[in-house]
Amino acid sequence: MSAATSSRSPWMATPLIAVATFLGLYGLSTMLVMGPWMRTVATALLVATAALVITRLLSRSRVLPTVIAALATTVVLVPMFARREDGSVHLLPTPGALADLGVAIRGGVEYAADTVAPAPEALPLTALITAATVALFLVAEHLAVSWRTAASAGLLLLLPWLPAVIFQHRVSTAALLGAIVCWLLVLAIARRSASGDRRPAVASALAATAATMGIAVLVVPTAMGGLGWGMIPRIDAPASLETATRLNLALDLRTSLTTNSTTPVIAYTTQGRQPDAFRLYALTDFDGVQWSREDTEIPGISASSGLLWPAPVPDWDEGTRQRIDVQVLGLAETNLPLPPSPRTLDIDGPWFYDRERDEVVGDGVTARETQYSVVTNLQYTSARALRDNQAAIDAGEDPSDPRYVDLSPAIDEGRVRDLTSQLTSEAESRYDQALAIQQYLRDTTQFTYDTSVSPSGGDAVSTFLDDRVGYCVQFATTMVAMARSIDIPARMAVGFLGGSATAADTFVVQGGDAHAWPELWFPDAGWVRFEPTPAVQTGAPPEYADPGANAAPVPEDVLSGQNVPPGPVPSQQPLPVPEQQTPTGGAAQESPLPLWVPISIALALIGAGLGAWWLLRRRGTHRAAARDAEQVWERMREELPEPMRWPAALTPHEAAEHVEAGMRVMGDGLSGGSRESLTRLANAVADARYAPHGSDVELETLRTWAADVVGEAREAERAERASAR
Amino acid sequence: MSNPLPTDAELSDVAEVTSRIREEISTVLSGLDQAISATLATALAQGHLLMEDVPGVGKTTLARAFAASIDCTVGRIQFTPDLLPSDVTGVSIFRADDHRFEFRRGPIFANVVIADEINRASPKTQAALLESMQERAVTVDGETRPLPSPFLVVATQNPVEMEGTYPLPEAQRDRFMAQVSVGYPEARAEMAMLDSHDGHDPLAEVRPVADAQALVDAIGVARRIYAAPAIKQYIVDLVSATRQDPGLRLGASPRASLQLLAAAKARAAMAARNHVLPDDVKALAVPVLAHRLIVSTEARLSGRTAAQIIREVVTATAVPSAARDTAPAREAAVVRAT
Repeated sequence: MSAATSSRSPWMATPLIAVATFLGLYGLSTMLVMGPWMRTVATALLVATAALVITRLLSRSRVLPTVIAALATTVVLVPMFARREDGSVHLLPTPGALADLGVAIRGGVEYAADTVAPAPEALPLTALITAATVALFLVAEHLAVSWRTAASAGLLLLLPWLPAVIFQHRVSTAALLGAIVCWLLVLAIARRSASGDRRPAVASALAATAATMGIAVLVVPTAMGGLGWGMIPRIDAPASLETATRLNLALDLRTSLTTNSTTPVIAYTTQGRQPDAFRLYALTDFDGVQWSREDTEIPGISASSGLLWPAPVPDWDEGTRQRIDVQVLGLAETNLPLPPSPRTLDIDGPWFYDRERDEVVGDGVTARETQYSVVTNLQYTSARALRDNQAAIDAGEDPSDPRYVDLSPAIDEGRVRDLTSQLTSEAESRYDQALAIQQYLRDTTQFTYDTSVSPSGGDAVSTFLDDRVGYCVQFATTMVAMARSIDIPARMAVGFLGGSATAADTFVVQGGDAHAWPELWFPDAGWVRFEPTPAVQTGAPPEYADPGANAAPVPEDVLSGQNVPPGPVPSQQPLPVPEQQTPTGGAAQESPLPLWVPISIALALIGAGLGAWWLLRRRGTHRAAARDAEQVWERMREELPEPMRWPAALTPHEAAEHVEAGMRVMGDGLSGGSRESLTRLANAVADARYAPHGSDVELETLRTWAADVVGEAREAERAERASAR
Repeated sequence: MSNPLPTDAELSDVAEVTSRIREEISTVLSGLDQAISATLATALAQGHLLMEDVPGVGKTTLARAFAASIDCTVGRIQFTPDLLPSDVTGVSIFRADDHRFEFRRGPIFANVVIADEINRASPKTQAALLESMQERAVTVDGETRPLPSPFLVVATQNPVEMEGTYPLPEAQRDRFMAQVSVGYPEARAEMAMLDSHDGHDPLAEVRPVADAQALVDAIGVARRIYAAPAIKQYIVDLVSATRQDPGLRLGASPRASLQLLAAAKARAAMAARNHVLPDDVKALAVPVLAHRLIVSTEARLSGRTAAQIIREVVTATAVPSAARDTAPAREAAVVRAT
């Protein structure tokens, strides 16, 4: 009876599964940069689909179509990916070509193992993805069409979405919905055709519903931005992010760093040298263990009004300026990340400059897709200029605010001052003093960089000087305290390191690049960044503060064992700039999703469910217009009241007796006409099934007979219910 | 097709012959429709019949009535512990006048052989009968002599628990196509029997209603009955279910599948139908399969018999609807049309 129904499956189910498999690639957007390679995968899937459909039309074998499709796809993959050692292309699937195809796919595995997600396009990777996608498709199709277990196939189709689920990554809603709809359609048209194992439409509908619920429960929270989905272990997304990064400004020296996020924060391009750092905040008040920051009003100076720097910059026009184009990827801050050097800013919107703190402040947060350009002179400060500042320092041109030299009473000021004095005993200028302190802290024989620190009492600086273990906050705070102990105005700056290159002139700053450093005041230069945190984390110090570049009179005993690796550590792997994400516009760390997304997902799910239901209904009515005695018989069985539906072990004649017995139980039994209809129908079915030449009864007659029986049975059922009431 | 389907005329001939025989037997034994049907089906399927029941319920009467209703040679062997194989097959005796051996045919050279109380004979004699049944020929002194056609052995035996019996081994039981139990008659049937036996022997009044040739023709027709692949599938399903049933120590053999199909064809022929229905298979499943099975000790202790287990298997096995084997061709045709 299901001959015609199931025969439609190859036409419809196979392409649908191919589409669902292809859409699954969007679930991998966490791992892979979407790009032209998808066309390659689509081509391979197209070939596999065509081979499957054609083979299924010509053969009823369960295995053959899959084998043929696998072979056909291999033949197509060879010229795509198989390369000889000299780089030439194989055209024919010779054994050598297949071996080289294997080499390409293995290369993809190695490439994937070595590459930081999201991996950019590369031929071996495309080979791997194409082969894996086709394999997934063939297995899923084999399960769904050959073995009619569309539900299991659906589980396979769910696989590509797993990374998104695990990484709580936002996926393309349209792709997800498309895949869901495809699977539902596959479920709707797949039908068990094995004799005696017919599932009624209700069961199919239930299976479809369960599948929908499964997808909805698993993947939709992901698509909706991972809103409080606590059951799935949260791992920081390797690429673009669900949550925007915020800097923790309550820098507490007693706490360890627990996360090292690889979440991209900003991406920027520049033609010149790479900035050491991007600065967002300045902190002044330290209570012995923790930095704090008082709220201030939004300043009145527009950030686009000219040169932004706390001190005069007389030779701005003569310096080497470079342009930096910044794009915010995932940062939720009120301040803009800016290089710590004199700069002009080109940005849309209300942004203001706080000259005292050297911060550019907005009235909201930096949203995704915020773009701005900075023109700056990264070489503005030099060792010589800083040394030459000494005259102005001696003239007392320091800021009048006492907080810049204030040490909290909690700090053992005497100890810090003694140590600093000893370190700077030979320094002739504020610059040399600063350099001496910086070199002391950067000395890896003295201090160890470690993100885990033990909690201390009220004087975290002393604890650090005792334990000699810490991370940037400890190093920077100690340098601020030491500078202040010898009356150098100093404060804390918070921002990010310069990040890593993804291309010649493109860089990405990740959450793990968050950093704090001390700023010391030089009257002619402004607040100057120093880098006391060891090179293992920060690379080389700024050029003007690098003793390797600027010989400084520092005591030999202090500098012994200095070990500074040259240059910033370049990233081993290129990290591409992730594609632009939809703006979140959220102010909180968890960026809330626009309301329309969950609503549209819900509507689409309801639509898909209704569609599946309609399909099932339609198929049900379609079966009502049965095409042979078997279908009429089966349809009659389904339409009869429950007690009259016969078990599969009954022959047509026994089934007829079963129906008659059911009617007698329910009431007076079948009327003469209906009984005759039933007997004739049973005979016709038995003929159709077992007689050499089938049944010759007209289909319309069969339907009439079945309608007679069903009508009378339902009438009896209604009468029985009425009497029961 | 090498075997053309039987024509309607042939089928109605078979139905008429068998119904006449049935009626004739019914004059002697009433209320035994199922046993008589199984007997007739076995005869048309060229099988042999085993009747097992307690003494005195009419086993021999049924066998004799069947033999008497057909105009053919009838042999009867009363098996006793001292019966020799030559008493069954025949013996060569030396004719002094001609100076040569002459073969005296045993009672097995008959169209219908009634082997009474077969389990009372020694295994050697049983084996002689069973070999002849299988080969439809007797070999004595190196010379093979074919047995007449039709050839039907109706063996009766008392249940093995009775004293002085040599139970038939499983391999020998497997050679009988079907086993029917006559059983105690219903009260009404027993009353009718008392009436009919009052003063005369009803067996003596049984007249032949068919001749041997009619039976041979009917056998030929039964062979040509069509069995759809679905039917064969059904038989295979049933038989393999017995092999997996935990209540059975020994399931049905492939010979059982063959004989069940043959018997089902015969039953279809008797109903003047040119094709087998699952109903035929169901009706014959217990007679054809039950005597070949060995019920496990656990099942026996819990009171289950082989017949009960067969009935459970039949209840649990789905009747094939669309023939699985033929479905692909039909489906492929539909696909191309789309």
